[in-house]
Amino acid sequence: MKGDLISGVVAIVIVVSSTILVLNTINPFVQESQDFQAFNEAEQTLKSIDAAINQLFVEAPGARRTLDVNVRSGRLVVSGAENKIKIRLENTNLFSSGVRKQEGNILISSGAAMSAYESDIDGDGNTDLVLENGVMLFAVKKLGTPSSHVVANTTDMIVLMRNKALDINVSYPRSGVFINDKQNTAYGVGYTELTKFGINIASSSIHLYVNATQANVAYDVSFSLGASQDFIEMHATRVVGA
Amino acid sequence: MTTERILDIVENSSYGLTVEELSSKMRINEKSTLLFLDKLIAEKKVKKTKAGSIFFYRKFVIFIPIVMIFLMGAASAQDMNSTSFKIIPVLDSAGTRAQSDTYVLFGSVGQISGTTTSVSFNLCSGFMCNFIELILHGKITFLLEFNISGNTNDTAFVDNYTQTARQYTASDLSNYYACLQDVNITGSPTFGIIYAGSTLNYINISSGNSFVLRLSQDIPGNKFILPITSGNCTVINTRTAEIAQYGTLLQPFVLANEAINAIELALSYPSVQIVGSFDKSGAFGLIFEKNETNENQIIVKPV
Repeated sequence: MKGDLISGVVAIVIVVSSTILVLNTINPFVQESQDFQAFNEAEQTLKSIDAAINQLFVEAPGARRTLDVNVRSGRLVVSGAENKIKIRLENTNLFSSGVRKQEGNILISSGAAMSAYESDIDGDGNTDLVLENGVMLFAVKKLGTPSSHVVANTTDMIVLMRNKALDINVSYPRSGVFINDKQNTAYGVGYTELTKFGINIASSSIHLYVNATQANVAYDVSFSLGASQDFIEMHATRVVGA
Repeated sequence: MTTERILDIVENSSYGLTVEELSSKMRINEKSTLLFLDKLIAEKKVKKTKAGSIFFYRKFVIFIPIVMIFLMGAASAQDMNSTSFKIIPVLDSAGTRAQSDTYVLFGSVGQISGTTTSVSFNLCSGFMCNFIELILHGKITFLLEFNISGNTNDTAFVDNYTQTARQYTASDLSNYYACLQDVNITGSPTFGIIYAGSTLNYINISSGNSFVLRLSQDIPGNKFILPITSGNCTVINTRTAEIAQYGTLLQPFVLANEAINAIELALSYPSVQIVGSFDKSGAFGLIFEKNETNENQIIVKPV
C-alpha cells in the first residue's frame, strides 16, 4: 500500500516535471514563431502602404487610395514631422539590439528604446532638446518655434554630446553648417524642434531650420538617433537660395 | 516613270513603307522595287531607316529636323527671368542628372521643372514635378571643434592620417572620416564626422586648444554620421564599406547589450512629404491622398 503511494507520487512528479520541461523548451519556439508572424504581418502592411504611395506618385493631384490594414501586434505610427510611416513591435527578440536592415524601402531597426525630450540638460536656465538612448546623449539648444523664428546660429547650437558608457561629456563643441563654405550661411533666423517626443520610443530627430538671410540661403537639418545606436545621423534637406 | 511613282507613294506615307508594301502598291516584284529604291536613295530622294529588323523607306526631308530644332527653340522660350524669379525648364531623361550653372536636377522622371533664385518662392511646372527634387548645386560642410576632457592626449585622424592643415580629398583616402580619440581614457572615447553621402568634397583637421574636424560634401544625397562611441578611431575603418554600400550603419560601432528589445519598421520618402500625425493599432482603414495644392505632399489619415 505504502509502496503504491510512493509510486503514485513519483509518477506524478515525473509527469509534472516533464510537462514543465517540455513547456519550457517549447515556449521560446512558440514565442519566436509569434514574433516572426507579427514581424511578417507588419512588413506586409508596410509593403501595401508603400505600393499605395508609389501608385500615387504617378497620379494627378487629388488622387486617392484607401487601404484596409490590420495591425494586430504593435502600433502603426504616421509621423509627418519625421516624414515616416512606422510600425513598432514591442518585446520582440528577433534581432540583436542596435541592428538595422534595409529591405526595399523599409528600414528595420532593432533596439531597446530611446527618449526624446526637452530639458535644461546643461543647467544654464535654458531649455534644450535631448535625444538619449542607453549608450549616448545628444542635445541641441531649443530655439523658437516653426511659427516664431528666432536667431539661429549653427556654430553654437550643440549643447552636449555624451558617451554614457564611458561617462565622457563633450560640452558646447563649436559646430557649423556651411553652404558652399560661406561663413554667413551658418546663421540666420529659424528654429529647432523635436520631431517626436517620448520615453521608450524607437527613434526621433532634432529638426533645425535656418534662414540665413545674409546669404539668401535657407535649409533644414535633421539630427536623428535610434535605440541602441552610438551615432547620430545628420543630413540637410530643402536647401534653397544662393 | 516607275521611280516617280515610287517617289509619289513614299511621299504620301507619313512613316515610311517596307519593300513588301511598296512592291504590292507598285505591282512589281520586290527585287525590282529594291533596285528602284537603291537608285532613289543614291539620289537622296528617299531615306532608308531601320526599326528593329525591318527597313522602312520614306521621303528624304531635311526640314523635319529643322522644324524640330525650331520647336526646341520655342520650348526654351519657357525660360522666364525677372529680378525676383528665374525658372529653368529641364527636360528629364530617365532619372539621370541634368544641371545648369546654379541648379542640379537628379533622380527623377519629371518633364519640366524650375526653381527660384529667391528663398521666398519655389516654382515647379510640368506634369510630374512631384518627383523632382531640385536643389542647389553646391556643397555642404559640417564642422565640429572640441576636445575630449582636455586636448592633452587627443589625437585627430583623417582616415589613417594625422597631418593637420591639409585638405584631404577622396583620392587621398580609403576611409572618408575625421575623428578624434583619447586613448589615455579608459575605453578610448571616440567622436567624429563620417561621410555617408554621394560625393565627397574634402575633409580636414586642424588643432589648437581643441581640434577642428571639417567635412564637406555635395548637397544632393548628403549625409553625415557623427559617432559618439569608444574603442578609438580604427573602429570606423571597419565600417566604412558598410556605409558606402548602404548609406548608413546597420549596427552600432559597439553593440549594446540591452535586455529589452523592440523592432521598428519604417517607410520614408526623401522627395515626398508625408502629412499626418497619428498612431493606431488593430483593424482600420487608411486614406492616402495626393495633396491638390502641393504635389509633393501625400496626406495620410485614418478612416
